[in-house]
Amino acid sequence: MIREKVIITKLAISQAGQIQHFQVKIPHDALRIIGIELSGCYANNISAAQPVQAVAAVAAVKMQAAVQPVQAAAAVPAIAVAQARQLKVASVRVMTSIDALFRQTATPMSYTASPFVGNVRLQSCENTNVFFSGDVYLSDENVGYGDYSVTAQFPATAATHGCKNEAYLVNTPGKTTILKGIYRDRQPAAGQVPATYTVNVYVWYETIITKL
Amino acid sequence: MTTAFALEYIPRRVKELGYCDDYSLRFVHLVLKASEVRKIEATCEFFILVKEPKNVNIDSDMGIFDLAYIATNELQYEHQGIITITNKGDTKRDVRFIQVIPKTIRK
Repeated sequence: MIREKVIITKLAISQAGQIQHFQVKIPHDALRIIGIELSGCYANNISAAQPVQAVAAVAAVKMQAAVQPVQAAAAVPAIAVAQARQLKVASVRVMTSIDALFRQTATPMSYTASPFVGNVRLQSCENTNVFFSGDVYLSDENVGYGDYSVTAQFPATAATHGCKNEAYLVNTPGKTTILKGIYRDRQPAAGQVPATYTVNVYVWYETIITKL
Repeated sequence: MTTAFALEYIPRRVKELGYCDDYSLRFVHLVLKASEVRKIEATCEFFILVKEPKNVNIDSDMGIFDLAYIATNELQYEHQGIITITNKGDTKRDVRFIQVIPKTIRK
């Protein structure tokens, strides 16, 4: 009986331009590696990572958006971004939350680039050599694109509107003892505060189970 | 990496990659002028760095070698793909590689 298993490797990234080497140990019973999946998430939640004033500014705009969605749609960038800049706490997390809030109240046809942060390469010790290269995005910013059912009270989120995650299909022999990986952060080195985030690398493999 | 260790390492590495013993070796000694950036295309071969150069950045698909780069947890001696070599200093620098060129089809 063939069973699929997964190995998860977490990489903590805290610097712009960081290059993180890592190894994924492949068990001896692995027949072949069948898929690679990537995901990224911010290291801390918004309230834990920023000063109280910024949280209050975002909360105030959220309340305004809930009461007067139309006016808030126009007011959010001016108010929140200005306040965040005045407070000099315009971190990536603040901007992301403000952007997300703006999208909730903006039209469903507004398109925003997803935050691309870096890419992962995987190399097998065997003859497949470098067999995978993939980009890491921290979120899908256009999850509600074109969906007119989205409202300020019921915004599009990954939990409600996101698609099922699918692994990239690969076919690499499992006899390789380790996979060697390299993650490169591609955030701009200057200009804005770099995000602190975690990258998850999921390696799916097949194995034979003889006894249940 | 010393030259002796590289010559011990290369046959095992070539075998791991599925090539036969039929491969060529070239010793490549690059001389970089001040602030020179040089690109080498090594898609069908790989370069093993010998003798760690100072004030030089070697960046490729496989990783980075730069003794002054602090945002990495590992330095790479084996490079493949597009290799970019940058002399960060204001004097000439020497960079030495052993170039490994597999000649036969993988088994």
